[in-house]
Amino acid sequence: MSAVSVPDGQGTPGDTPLCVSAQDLVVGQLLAEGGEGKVFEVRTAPVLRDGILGTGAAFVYKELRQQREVLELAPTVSFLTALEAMEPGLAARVRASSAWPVALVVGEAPGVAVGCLMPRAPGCFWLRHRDGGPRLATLSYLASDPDRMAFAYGTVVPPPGAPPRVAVVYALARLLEAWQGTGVGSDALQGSVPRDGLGRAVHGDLSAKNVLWSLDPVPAVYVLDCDGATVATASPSAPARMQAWGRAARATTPNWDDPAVAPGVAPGLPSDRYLLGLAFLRVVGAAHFPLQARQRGGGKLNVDLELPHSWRRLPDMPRLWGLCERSLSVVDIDGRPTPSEWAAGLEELLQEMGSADLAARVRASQGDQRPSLGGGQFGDERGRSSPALVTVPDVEVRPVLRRRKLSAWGLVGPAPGVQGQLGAGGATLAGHGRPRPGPGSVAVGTGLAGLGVGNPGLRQFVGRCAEAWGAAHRLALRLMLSRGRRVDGFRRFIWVLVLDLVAACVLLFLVGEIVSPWIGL
Amino acid sequence: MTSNYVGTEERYAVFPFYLCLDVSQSMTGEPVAQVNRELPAIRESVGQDPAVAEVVRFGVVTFSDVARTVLPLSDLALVEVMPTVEVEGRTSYAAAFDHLRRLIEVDYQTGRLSGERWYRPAVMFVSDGRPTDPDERWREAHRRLVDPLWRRHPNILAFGFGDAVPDVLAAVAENKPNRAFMATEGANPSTVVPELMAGLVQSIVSSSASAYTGSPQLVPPQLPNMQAIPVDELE
Repeated sequence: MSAVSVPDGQGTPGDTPLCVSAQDLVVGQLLAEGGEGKVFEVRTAPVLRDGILGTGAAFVYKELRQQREVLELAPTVSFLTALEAMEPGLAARVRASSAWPVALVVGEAPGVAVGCLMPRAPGCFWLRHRDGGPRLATLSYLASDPDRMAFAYGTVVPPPGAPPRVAVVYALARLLEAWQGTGVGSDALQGSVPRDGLGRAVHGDLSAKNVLWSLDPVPAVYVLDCDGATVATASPSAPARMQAWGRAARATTPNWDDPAVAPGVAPGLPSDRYLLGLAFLRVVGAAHFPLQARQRGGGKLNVDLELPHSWRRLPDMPRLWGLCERSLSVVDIDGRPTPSEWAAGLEELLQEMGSADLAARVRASQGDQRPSLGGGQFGDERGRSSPALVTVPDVEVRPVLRRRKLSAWGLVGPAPGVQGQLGAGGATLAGHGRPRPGPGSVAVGTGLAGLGVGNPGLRQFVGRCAEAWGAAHRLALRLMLSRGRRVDGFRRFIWVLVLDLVAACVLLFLVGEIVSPWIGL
Repeated sequence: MTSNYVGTEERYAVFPFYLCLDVSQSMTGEPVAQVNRELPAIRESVGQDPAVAEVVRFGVVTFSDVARTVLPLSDLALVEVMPTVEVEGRTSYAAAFDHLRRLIEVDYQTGRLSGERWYRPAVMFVSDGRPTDPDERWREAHRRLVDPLWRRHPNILAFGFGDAVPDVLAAVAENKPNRAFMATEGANPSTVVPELMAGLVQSIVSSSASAYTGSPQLVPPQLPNMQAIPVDELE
């Protein structure tokens, strides 16, 4: 295999993509086929450059249906190299969380790319259905009713509102932070003009089928189809067409598109921000909210995000809901929050949920331990100012705390009297194809054993009582200090005071009836 | 400004598909064996993709002397086993249309009770022969099925091979353009049936994607060995 040089005239190292000759490539079986091309496994991994292709990682070859100029695709492929040179931490995030193209494949015609090489999704981003082969763990599994996923495919996913779901979105926000260059301490990166030499990447189709997830060993995402991403660069040597956002409108996925983008128009940086907010709602809420058609229809959108009852312990988070609202707004598109704001907000949320370690593990797995800086708009305890809450006129997101209902899903078999593939052993049908009631989700609890009641010891018991007493008081006070949860906090505080009063009475009774006579008073 | 409320429990409207299969004697042998081999592929392609399965409901009806529901309208993700079909008697189109008329109404009402919203159902009608019942009989049943005054009347895609009659298939598809397809002359059923089933999957998947946009379309399949039956545009 040999490297192929690209045409001269590219001023910065970042503009020079790594190219591989198609003749040197040995491809295996066809893995997938889409509108833009075919994806094959690469049998002979090219070893051309240490650190990128020489890592031993598995690669796939995407053969483009329509050949493209190398110059046209160069900014995308060179983006990672440039990022590596200037921001190794951000490059590590991109490498860990996306199938970013690492080389172009050129044919006989000089300067014409016939495809590109991309890393293959690691094994942790695949799952197996109950009765099937390996499948990509797309975000669709998390944006659906967990009970339905368990019944239909035998795939167990965390319940809505669970910290691992938040951590998955956090991993996505950290990746977008690297792509968009926000929150890395450079004011030059905050504006819409890309920094010279380090472009900003726009994926444009962050749909459920393109975002993979994993929870084992760490909550993580892996974004596919990155060869269709566009990179805006302000490099003076880059051709003028590269300096704009996007080459042409890429195909987007219905229901995972930005309603503010007109048909035929290339999605830009705000679109990826819209989809990040949408991913939060759908992944954390475990539901496939139908939003876009209504937003296109005009009118204010009110989203009730159903969350588990356990969220009542969290303080009110108007800024988090503000992030959702601003992300989804089709009125104030430029005001959509940056991925850094999201990352900082989700770090705070995970901290409130008692899962700060998850955020740290996500950062470690992405190879960049630095916490997100928040893009200067998401005020937090890290010393930045806390600006006034920004609201948008067209979207309102409201958390609704509910206890989960029992599952109503069940498997369906052939109609009675009809033989199935497995013979008469197939399940029978209840109703006309409607799912029959299933055996509900299994509640996992520690019961009394978790409190150590089986062998408490007086000191341990008193200690736990004191701990519970303190936690109840702290929670009531925190809620009273939270905007929007004050009534709940006040109610809890009254209950705590009543309990305090009862405890005091019992204590006085014990002192008066037992302790006083015992000591002779 | 008007308000649109969206909640976690809100679902997308579903796109019901009915596969209506001819199981008359002429399907004996390889054609019916091919159908039985390919039916699980529909479950595999549609049901095993959470995003597609969410908006697609799929049922299978067979017809010969009588029509039967062999797979009630179902969420394919929750279908444990696909049914197998067996060859029976003659080719009564009337039985198929009457059965579909009743079935769609019952399914719609049942779905409505469970909170489902429906897009207009689609019937994929597959036959390898000409109707054996009197012409007026099946046309009357067909008229009831596609009666525009019946609000649940389905869109019909018709596919034919073997002894199927193009004009009849075009009539089944209401003479609408790109809705009726006939296998090219001399095409082997063992080739046509798998391609047809693959085309149906492609049609269902593409149609389901459009369902998410709020403006669903019944996307006709691309079939290499089949040609769309040309129909006149009505004035």
